[in-house]
Amino acid sequence: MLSKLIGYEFKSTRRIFLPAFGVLLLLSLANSIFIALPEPTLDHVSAPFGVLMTVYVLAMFAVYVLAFAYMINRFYKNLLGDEGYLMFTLPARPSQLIWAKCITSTIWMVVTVILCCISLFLLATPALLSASFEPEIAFSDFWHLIQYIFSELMREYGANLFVVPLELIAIGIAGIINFCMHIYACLSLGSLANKHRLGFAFLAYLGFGVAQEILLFAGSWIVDLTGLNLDFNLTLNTAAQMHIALLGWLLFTIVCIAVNFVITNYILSRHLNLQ
Amino acid sequence: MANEPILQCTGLCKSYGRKTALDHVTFALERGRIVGLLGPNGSGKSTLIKLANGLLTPTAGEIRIAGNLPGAETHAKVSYLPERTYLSDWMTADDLLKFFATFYEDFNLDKAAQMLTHLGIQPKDSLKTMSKGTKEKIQLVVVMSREADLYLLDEPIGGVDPAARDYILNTILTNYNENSTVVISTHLISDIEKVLDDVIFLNRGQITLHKSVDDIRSEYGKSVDALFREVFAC
Repeated sequence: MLSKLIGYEFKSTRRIFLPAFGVLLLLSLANSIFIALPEPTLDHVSAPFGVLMTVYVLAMFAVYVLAFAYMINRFYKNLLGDEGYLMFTLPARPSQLIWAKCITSTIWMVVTVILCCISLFLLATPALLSASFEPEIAFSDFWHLIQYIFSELMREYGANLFVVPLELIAIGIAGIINFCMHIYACLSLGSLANKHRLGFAFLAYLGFGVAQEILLFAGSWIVDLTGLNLDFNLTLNTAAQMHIALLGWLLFTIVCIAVNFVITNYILSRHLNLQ
Repeated sequence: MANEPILQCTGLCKSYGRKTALDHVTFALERGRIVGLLGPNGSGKSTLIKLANGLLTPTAGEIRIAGNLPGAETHAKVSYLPERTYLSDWMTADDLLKFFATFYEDFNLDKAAQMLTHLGIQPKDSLKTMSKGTKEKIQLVVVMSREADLYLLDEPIGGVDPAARDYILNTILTNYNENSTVVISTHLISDIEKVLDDVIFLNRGQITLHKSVDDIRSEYGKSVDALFREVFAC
């Protein structure tokens, strides 16, 4: 059932995301052509180039806003609005509906980040090649530079060179999942109100923010008080400290995902009140 | 179990804040009946149907479908037509049929396609371009193309013209399974009286009458429509 729901989510959202991604890539290609022009020619077309670059920056910003807005819109409109009459009468559990939305939004957000990186790379390619206008040499120099940086980093950090980025990627993905689930929890709490549901959802968001700050403050105060931090610094080397910090961060994010999911699932399972 | 009521409410209450929509409603529906859930506007008909679909949570009491509380299991047995349009505008008629075929095992795709053809709707027609009445007919088509145990139809003839009402009633009568129960909520009684086996009168959240149409005619000597007008006279 979950795979069917995810398939439906992609079908509902791809008609918006794919054209937006296509426009972004086209804009980066168009800008990279301008960048590749020799200096005297570029001076003659500086005005259209400026406009095109501004549009590109705005488009990059717009795809992030789109991913964020769609994550909220799909949950609010498709589950808590009129379309919820269809979705909540499917032979699916509320948890499956929630995860279908969360997984799809997370994938679109990750794809947005990857696509923006590709787009920036496309934009930078002419600059990387333009040093001598001899692509073979430029590529060769570029490749040698990468190899040099890589070997130096391997010598310094060893296996951590792979492990740390993997940990950071895991934290990034978990962070996106948590972000989606947190918004869902706030929207679900807002749906408990009879009126002004979005307003109450925003209040819930603020309330969660205040609660999180208090918890973090209390946590750091306890650590300072008990001297745990000192032992931690004395007994472990730098790499181990970094791994523990990253894994701790990952674990904390997973706990946050679980809390936000439990809140959302509880409300949609036990206190659903579609108006 | 086959002899278990298909729909059973026990002390069912629902309040919206201070307003009581349903007040200790208790009744049971057997299989193979067409039941009219009748009452004036605001009497609690839609609330009762939404509770049966798990779209609302009871304030007190319980509602069971074939012995189960509303959930994924009962959704597979209940075909629900809400009083509003729940379709996504980006879909075409064909997308909607595929959606129902994907999620409901009891959906008869061929039957639905035939009914849409009969209505003159092309598979590639976008829902966005359709009138409200056409969307309501499409919803009815997909809902009645399921071979469900219980059909809950909330105001199926409320917003359409008299010619469309005949089409809708005919669609309901020719497409439901004889072992299944159909609950039709409405205040337009004269149009549906001829198809009903039983009626439930709901007034201000309470059941005031639950009888077969034959019993009403023999006991009161009048039609359901005439009795309704008498009971709910302003």
